[in-house]
Amino acid sequence: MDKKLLDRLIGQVEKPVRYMGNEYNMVIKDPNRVDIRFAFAFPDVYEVGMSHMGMKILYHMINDREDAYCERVFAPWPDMEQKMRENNIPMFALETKDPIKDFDIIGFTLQYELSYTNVLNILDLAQIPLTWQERSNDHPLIIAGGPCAYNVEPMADFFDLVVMGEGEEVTHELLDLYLDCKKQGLDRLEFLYRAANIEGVYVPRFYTVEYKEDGTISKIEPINERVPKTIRKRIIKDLDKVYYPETMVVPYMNIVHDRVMLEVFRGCTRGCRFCQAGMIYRPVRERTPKKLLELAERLIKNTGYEEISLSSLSTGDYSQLEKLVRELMARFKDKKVGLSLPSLRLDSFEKELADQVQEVRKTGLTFAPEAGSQRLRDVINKGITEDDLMGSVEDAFKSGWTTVKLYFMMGLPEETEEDLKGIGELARKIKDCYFNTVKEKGKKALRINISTSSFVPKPFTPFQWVAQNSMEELDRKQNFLQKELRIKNVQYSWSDSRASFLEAVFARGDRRLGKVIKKAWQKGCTFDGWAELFKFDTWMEAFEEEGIDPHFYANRQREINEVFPWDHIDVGVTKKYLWREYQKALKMELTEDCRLNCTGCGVSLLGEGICP
Amino acid sequence: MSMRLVVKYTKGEKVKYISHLDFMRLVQRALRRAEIPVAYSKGFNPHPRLSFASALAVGTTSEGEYLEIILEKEMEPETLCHRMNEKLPEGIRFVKAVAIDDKAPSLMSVIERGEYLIHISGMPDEGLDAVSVIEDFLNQTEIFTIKKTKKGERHVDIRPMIHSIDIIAQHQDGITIKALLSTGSKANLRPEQLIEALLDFANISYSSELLVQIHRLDLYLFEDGKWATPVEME
Repeated sequence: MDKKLLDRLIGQVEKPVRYMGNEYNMVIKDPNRVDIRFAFAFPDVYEVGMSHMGMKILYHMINDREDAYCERVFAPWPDMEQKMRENNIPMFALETKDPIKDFDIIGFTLQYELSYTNVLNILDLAQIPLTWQERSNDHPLIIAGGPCAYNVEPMADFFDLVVMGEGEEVTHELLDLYLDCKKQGLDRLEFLYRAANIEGVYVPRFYTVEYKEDGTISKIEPINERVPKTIRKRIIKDLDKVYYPETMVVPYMNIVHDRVMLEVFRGCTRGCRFCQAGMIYRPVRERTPKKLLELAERLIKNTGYEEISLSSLSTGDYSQLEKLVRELMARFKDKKVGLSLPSLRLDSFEKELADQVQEVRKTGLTFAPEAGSQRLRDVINKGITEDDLMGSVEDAFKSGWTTVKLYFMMGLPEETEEDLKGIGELARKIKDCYFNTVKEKGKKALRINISTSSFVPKPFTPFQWVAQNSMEELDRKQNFLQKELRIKNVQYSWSDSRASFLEAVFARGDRRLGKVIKKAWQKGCTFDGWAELFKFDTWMEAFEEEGIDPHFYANRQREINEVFPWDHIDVGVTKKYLWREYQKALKMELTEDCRLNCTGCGVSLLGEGICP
Repeated sequence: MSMRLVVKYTKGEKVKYISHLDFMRLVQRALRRAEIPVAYSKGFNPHPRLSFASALAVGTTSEGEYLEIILEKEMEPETLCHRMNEKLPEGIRFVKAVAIDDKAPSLMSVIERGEYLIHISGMPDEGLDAVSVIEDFLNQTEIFTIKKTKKGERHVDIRPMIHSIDIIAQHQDGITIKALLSTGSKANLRPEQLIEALLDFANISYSSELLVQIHRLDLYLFEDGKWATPVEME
């Protein structure tokens, strides 16, 4: 490959640092002195992919092995893709700029459904056949992981194997097996049979799916007895002992999350019924403040970052949050290192904590009530009352915050017009609260940013049986909210209902969708998650041409006993529990936080004593 | 005691596509890694007291860039360079640092000239006599170019901003020249503008083959009757 030409082309595109590499802490190895060349591929642009914590962990973890070299791959933006195709530059890894078609393994992380066409595009740019059927022993092994891997069926044709759950241990097991098979001269098929017997590894080709006349699934079965009937996700038992990087690649350009990320815990016990992460990442496992402080010290020293964020699904629920925040502030205040607390649930938000964070740097305040009325919040088991919310907002205003962001979902099960009106009422109450609390009119004006996303029913949640609102219905609701939220100081933004529709199709899709994804990509779809590049009409043509009805997947209410495309995957939480939660939702019955009382979700059966 | 320093640094091939804004952030982070006691501005959003002499275009390399920095505590200039070089990405090096007077005017305001090495390749082979072309180019009393601004187009005479052009080497398909140009807040000529005017003068049209590589050699200010680089200041 002509690396001089590549360097020149990089200079001709928008944001060249996306393709430049050479960042501080980038790992440099001699590729000739390793046994495995691994490409960690994130199917989106650099600034999105570089913000992903899983990549940071696995990149440094694999590179700590002497026998492997892990490099990074991101989806080139269309301007770069065009240059690459015009000049016959194959998809390259950022570190060495070597073509990834010569690598041993390419591992994709599937973070969202609308990045699927980018996976195909990266493979094609790499000059690697898209499907496992077309690939030989000589092609790189194409694997995947990440949240969308739990129902990877729509992408089943494109991957050799898929990893379910947390990757720290299983990645090593896979690499060891790969080396072992390579040494023994075993072929791809034999490797896959052996891999399929590692817990957490799913090899789609070893399972067959049969369909009924109505299009639903009749059964999913292993093709023979060499592979297990169900695939159980992997979890790490002790977060203090598991690998966590003490260094991170420091990008040159502004990335989405440009700071040291400290993962304080995994899992969430709240049990919000729409939330897939809350179900699939169970159980809760915390890192100790001691470990986190150690990591923070090293990471700041090694990266020079000016900000630390505490990340998890619900950082406010961390049992030792106060202690941790106080310690972090004490240690880093003089170094001018700020602290940000994302994903704060407002019911656990404490004024004092907010004040402390504010001492160094002040960022916007975000709340996620998710629904506009108490009734609907009870349906989704978001155990927050209006009093909680107003109390937190008032405290925030007293402490000098003037910008408040509020996230809601529309199209939730059982939603009525009253619930949507509730969003407008809440906005007005917050506004009143501001003007009652802040007597002297400050220089800064109040800003209330309200955004809604459209509800997408996800696998492994109590709402996996539910029909998504039609696009027309979602649009009607957005129009309604636009009118309701025509209030001074209030800004409303919403998501594209067509993107949410496609997300819903693929979230609960099956293997028959693979050909649609391929067709849409052939017709030019990439970066579907980017509004400016999203080609909805092209997608609809692809469905039409392949004779597949997308509404079957998005807008159909399922029966209690329907066999789901992901039924052979065991995430710990049982289908029985999810159905029970769904029925409770319909009755507006709350389920309490399982830190207080076990609610019998099933995850405790995954291993001994792992639920706190 | 606080301390004000001027630092000469390089920006090499491997980091040439970093934008000016990104470069500032990069230096700030390297300062934290190197545990340099940099002073911070007062106010709501404290930022390190760091400023750059002159922005370098994306894609341009340099061996003569300058920044100034204010430290909270005194520190040997050599120690600063040494510690930073351990924490800077490959391609960026702090070459020399000198302490300057607290009251001295800002670097940005005193820089007047920049010296560039410009390598042009992929030119059509038309038996061009580069020596006479450049001579004729410089013999013009005025050289008008069109400068695009927010308000529209403006005709600018760039001749007074070209102080010298020397041919360093001639190759089969190109040429390497050294140019001394006005750089700074009083008058500024970007090397790209010069090349555009020069190619235009020589009737060479831009093609995808044509490659222009620009490397900044140094920056100069005028002091005590002579030209000097910022680290030669007393």
